[in-house]
Amino acid sequence: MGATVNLDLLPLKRLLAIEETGLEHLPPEHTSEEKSRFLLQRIDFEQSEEKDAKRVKSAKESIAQLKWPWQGLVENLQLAQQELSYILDFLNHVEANDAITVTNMMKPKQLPHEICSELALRASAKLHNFKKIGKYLKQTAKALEQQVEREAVFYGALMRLQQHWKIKRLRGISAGPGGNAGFTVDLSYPQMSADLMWGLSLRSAGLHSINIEQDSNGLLVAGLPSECMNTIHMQLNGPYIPHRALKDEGSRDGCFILSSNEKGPDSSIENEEDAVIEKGVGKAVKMGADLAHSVLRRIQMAIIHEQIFEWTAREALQPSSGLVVTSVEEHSLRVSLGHSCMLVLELHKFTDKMDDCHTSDATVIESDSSGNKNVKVEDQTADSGHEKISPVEGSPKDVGDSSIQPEEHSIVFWKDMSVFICLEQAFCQSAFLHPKDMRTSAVKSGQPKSTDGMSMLSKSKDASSGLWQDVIVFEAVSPLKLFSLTMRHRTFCSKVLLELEQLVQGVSYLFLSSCPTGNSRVTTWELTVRIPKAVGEGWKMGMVKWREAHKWNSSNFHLRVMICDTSLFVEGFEVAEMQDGTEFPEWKRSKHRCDLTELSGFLLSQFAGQLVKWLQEEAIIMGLNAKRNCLSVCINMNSKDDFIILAALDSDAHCINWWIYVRSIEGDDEFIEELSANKIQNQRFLGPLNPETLRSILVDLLSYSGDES
Amino acid sequence: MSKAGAAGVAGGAFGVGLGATGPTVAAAAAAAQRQRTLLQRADADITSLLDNFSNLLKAARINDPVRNAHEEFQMEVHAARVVQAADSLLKLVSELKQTAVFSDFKSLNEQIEQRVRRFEMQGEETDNLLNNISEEAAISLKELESHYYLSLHKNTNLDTAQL
Repeated sequence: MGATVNLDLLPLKRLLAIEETGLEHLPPEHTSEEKSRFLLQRIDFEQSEEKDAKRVKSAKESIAQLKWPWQGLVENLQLAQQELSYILDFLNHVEANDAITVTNMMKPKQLPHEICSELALRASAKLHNFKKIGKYLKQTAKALEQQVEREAVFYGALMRLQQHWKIKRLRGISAGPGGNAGFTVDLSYPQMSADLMWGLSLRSAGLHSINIEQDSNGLLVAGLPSECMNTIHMQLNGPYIPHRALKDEGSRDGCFILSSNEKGPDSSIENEEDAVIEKGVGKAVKMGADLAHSVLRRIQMAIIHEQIFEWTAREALQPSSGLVVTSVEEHSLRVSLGHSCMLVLELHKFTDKMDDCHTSDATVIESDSSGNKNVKVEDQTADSGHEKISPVEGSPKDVGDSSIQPEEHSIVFWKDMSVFICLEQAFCQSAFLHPKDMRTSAVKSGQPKSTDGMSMLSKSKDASSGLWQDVIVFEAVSPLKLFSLTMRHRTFCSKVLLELEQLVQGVSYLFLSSCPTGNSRVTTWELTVRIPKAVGEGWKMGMVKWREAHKWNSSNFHLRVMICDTSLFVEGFEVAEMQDGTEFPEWKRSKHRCDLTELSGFLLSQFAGQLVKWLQEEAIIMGLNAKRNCLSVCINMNSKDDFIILAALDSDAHCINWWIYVRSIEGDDEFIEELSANKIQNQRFLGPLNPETLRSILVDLLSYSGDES
Repeated sequence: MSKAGAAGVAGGAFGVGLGATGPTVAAAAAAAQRQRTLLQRADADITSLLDNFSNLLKAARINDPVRNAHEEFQMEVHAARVVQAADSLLKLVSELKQTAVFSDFKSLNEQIEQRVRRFEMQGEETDNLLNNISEEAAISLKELESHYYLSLHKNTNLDTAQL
């Protein structure tokens, strides 16, 4: 322990001077190197050097004396041990921090290879950090790129959609994938007149604003609300079915969910969600826009249907509508159209499958039978009153027949899209077309349109138009009234057409042809008797010849049956060449208002008169002495009895029966009495005959007359 | 907002047409303010993006381990801010797109007028088509009826009687 280290026990601040004011002057701060140097300077190494010198001297002497070879090593080791013990002691003091304070510690200088390796380590750590950051940036870049693509797709579709729909932006909501995009589509109709909108369709109110969403691919999606999506089903039930031949056709199902262009989202499109999304244009944009468009169209249809239903229900209950409401329920409305025809409007839950429509009939019956919550407005008195008042709807028997018929034949349902189109048009006219607009549109179209929207055709080329325009004057009516009148007219027309077709079946050479008027409330048919000239010449005609002959044969007699609303008119007139005979009363052109019950008899009497007239002419041409008396032809056989051919009308069978009588020469008055008393014995029923047979009878009579002479 | 004012906003948003259609002064000022805001946002985002990226590059220098550790954390922050700036720019683009879609009243009105014209044309075409169809249907009906009443189906009685 040769060396001693003097250390300051207390690290006191040393002052150079203190001024009178108390300001202390501190010595300048030493750097760490200076401090260490200072400390080193304070260590006294003189004694240890002297001792070392002495020790070296004595050692040289002892070496010289002993010369033990390992003596030096031992001494060195001892010295090293001493040094080590010093250092350890020093370290203990430093650790104990009781006597020594470490002010600076110099790091041992590193070797070059150590420096290189440490640098390499730092560089690799930095590289690792940069790689991590790069990976993060790449990921976010990819996400941002996807977002850009999504937005391109979304906004492309939005721009397309905006061309067709009213899109509103919600402030404060930003578009993001898989959620609300912050846009809504307004499906309400601001153009709709306020009084119509009042109280309309609370059910469909939730459909007026549809949120636009963005799916994970960025596709624009319009959410289809599952509730309140109703669609109208319309049925017209009754015994008189127009277009009978089409009633079983599947395509005439009265479901008006979507038109052919407005089918639901194409499944093939939905399956192509993995399709390549192009930026701003292309398949994905079109797909998103189309899907949303179809969904919105569907919702709009549901709204329209709902509003049509509610508008119809509300308007129909007003007395001016002309409709007789028999039942009102939450989702069903039944309206009587007269002639046992019933219009049923139903709101069904929206379904994609059209098959569901077929079950509608069953639901009708169920809803009728379960009447707990149904608010039925029974208006039987009005209905029955209407049945009685109407002059053209026939006798009570007719009503009774029609009421029984559905039970016998299981009510025939027929559904006609045109009915719905009529109703839709009436609604649109009422909702969107103001009286001012209607006038301007009428002026623009150049047609004298009345305010009911029905164009009164005044085509000069249509000769038949003049026939009904002077018969009836259409009043300006509300759209629903017009619809009701149209439907009543159609029902009545079906009934009349049935009569006419039966008539045509029963009478030979009678032709029925429709004369389209272009007006929904006027229908005209023409009945023509065409007896070919070849029949008069005694030809037995085959079908082919007969048809050929008919093509070139002018008609002998025309009758026009015309229905304006529910009024029936019959107009008859003869052609010019038939007016030559002056001794017989001419069939002048005349208009006759008649009832449906008397229509068949009236028409048969007209045709029978024509046939009798033709028969008389034929008899005269043959040289017989024929005389016409109303519906009979009396053939005078000179010295013998007279033969009378009489036409008898059978309205039920819709045919003309023929009788032949043999009259003695006793006198006309007596014969007429007998005829009226039905006491004539010499009579024979011939049944319904065609003109050829009638003419052959004349030939027989002629030969009989010749034989006698 | 009036139509002209709205057009002014749209014009202002895109930096064109200010005052051309006679917008109100307030609307023009609002549009200009909005335009300035958008430009400022774009500038701020781009500056932030560039600054942070340059800081990232600066952090590439190899220092002592302690500083390196500090820089590692700083790099993460800078990267996040770069991403944030990019996202902000993207949102700006979205807003511009929305403005383009919703505030371009001029083209919207043109489209509406175009559609109205198209619908009117379609209406006229439909009227003509319906007239033609009704005429054709009338002719066909007459023809079919004459065929029917001269056909074997209708006149079986007649033919059998003759036979």
